[in-house]
Amino acid sequence: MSEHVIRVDGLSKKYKSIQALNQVSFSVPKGSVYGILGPNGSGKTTTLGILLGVIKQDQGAYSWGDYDSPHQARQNIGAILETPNFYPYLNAVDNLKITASIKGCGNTRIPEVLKQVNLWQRKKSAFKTYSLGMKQRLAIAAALLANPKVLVLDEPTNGLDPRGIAEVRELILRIAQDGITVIIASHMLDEIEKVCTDVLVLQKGEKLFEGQVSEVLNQGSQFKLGYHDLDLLEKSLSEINGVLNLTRAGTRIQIHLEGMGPEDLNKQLAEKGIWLSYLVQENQSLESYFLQLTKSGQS
Amino acid sequence: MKYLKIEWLKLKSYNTFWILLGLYVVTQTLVFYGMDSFKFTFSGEEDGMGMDFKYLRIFSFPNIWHYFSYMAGFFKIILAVLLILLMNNEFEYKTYRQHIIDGLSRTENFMLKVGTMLTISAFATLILFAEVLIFGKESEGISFFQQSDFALAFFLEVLGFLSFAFFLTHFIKRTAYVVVVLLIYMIAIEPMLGYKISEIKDHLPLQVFRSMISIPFTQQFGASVQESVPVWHMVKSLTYSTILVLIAYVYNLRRDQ
Repeated sequence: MSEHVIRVDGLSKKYKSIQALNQVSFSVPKGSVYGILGPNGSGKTTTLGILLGVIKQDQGAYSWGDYDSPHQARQNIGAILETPNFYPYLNAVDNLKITASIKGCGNTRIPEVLKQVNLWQRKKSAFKTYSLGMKQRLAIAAALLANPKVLVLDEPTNGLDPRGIAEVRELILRIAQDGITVIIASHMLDEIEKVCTDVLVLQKGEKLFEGQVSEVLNQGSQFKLGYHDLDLLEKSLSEINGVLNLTRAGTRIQIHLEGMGPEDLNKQLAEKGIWLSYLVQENQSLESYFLQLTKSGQS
Repeated sequence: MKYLKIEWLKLKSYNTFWILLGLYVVTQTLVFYGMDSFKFTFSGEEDGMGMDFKYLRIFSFPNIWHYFSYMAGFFKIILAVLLILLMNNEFEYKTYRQHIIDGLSRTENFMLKVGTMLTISAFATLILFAEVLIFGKESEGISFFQQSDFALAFFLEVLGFLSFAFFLTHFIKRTAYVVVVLLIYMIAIEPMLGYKISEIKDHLPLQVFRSMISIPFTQQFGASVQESVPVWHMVKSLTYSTILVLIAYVYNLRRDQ
């Protein structure tokens, strides 16, 4: 048993003149909800396509932890790549029977997974009559069919309405609680922030960051301050060493602290005769961190 | 078994497949049924010089094997359209790709389609057997299986033609385009090549598949008629099929799905 469900080493892929992936390495810890994050065209789907055997990498290698061969691994994981792919003239049950025979897992779980994604009522309707959201949910049902240890989801909330998005999010969290590792690619930051424990950030095929989401969120020591005379506060703050990124945000002033804590700041301001009416530490959002990363990636 | 089950699940509720297959059986049966009433004269006048199929004893053993195998060869285009449709559906619905994601190896996935092609060819041969059984008129001292090697040649002819269509579908991604390219190649390109360069005429693929069974009707003019299919000719046909499938296989292994 390995500690990682998959290890990826130096994947590169070129489509004609476009370098879709450049030497990307990462590994997914067992039991994590692993987010692959990046704007459209950053290489998320290419990465997953390679790991799922449908795209051939030019360089690099990967290995699915506990399995001998890639196709044996694929039988035992559940995966959605891009669009939900089913036979339009077959109903949900018949489509899932095909998935079940490929995965060699039997048909017994079909009712269970269809109920799990709320398609049980429509199980006898042909796939082509489904809305986009229902198609996406059927794809999730198919991915869950073999009771997988690993679930790979590419943009799982694509085409879903807000309620559908919330449902999928809950489903992912529930799945993760059962100890299933989830790998999820998305360009939607709050999706990743709300469900993922780990994140890999890609841009233009390059790895920008890999680490735990909590690490990112705790990294920032961003503060908002209030005082009746903002100009005076701003002037005083600019004189203190360790105060960075001073900006006005409405009736507050926003700063980052480096090498000092909020107590020190409070003390120093008090010495200048300023008694704060407001002092709140804010977590850095994944969004601001991501924007920061992609900005520096561009320069 | 697993693979048969997968393909069966796809086909059993696919109406277009059953309708096309039904059309194949029905039209072929109709043609066989009416075959001995066919006649024509070169001048167009009732008593002019020409052919009258009722003198050919089409339904008598062993001739029936040759006649039916030859005529059935015209209907293989329906089977090719059927195969092209089934293959392209998989590409269009992206289910071919999904099968890999779900856990088939590329080779397994490819063999699934080769299996479909073999099954269609075997089915067509089975239908031929059934028709011979239904329409055949016993002749004294002649066994049912005499000259039944024509049926084997028919199987190889269908398989060859289908493997050509199979080959094309891997490179052309739309059902309509594949069918049109297949027809253009069959009707125009290959015959033209054959006329222009007579040395290769007998070695072009569709010609190899088709010429295993020569035209049987000329016996009325006293021409000698083929009595069996040379083994080397069948081997050649099978070799062509294998090569076409192998090229598609190698291409299929390498490309992104």
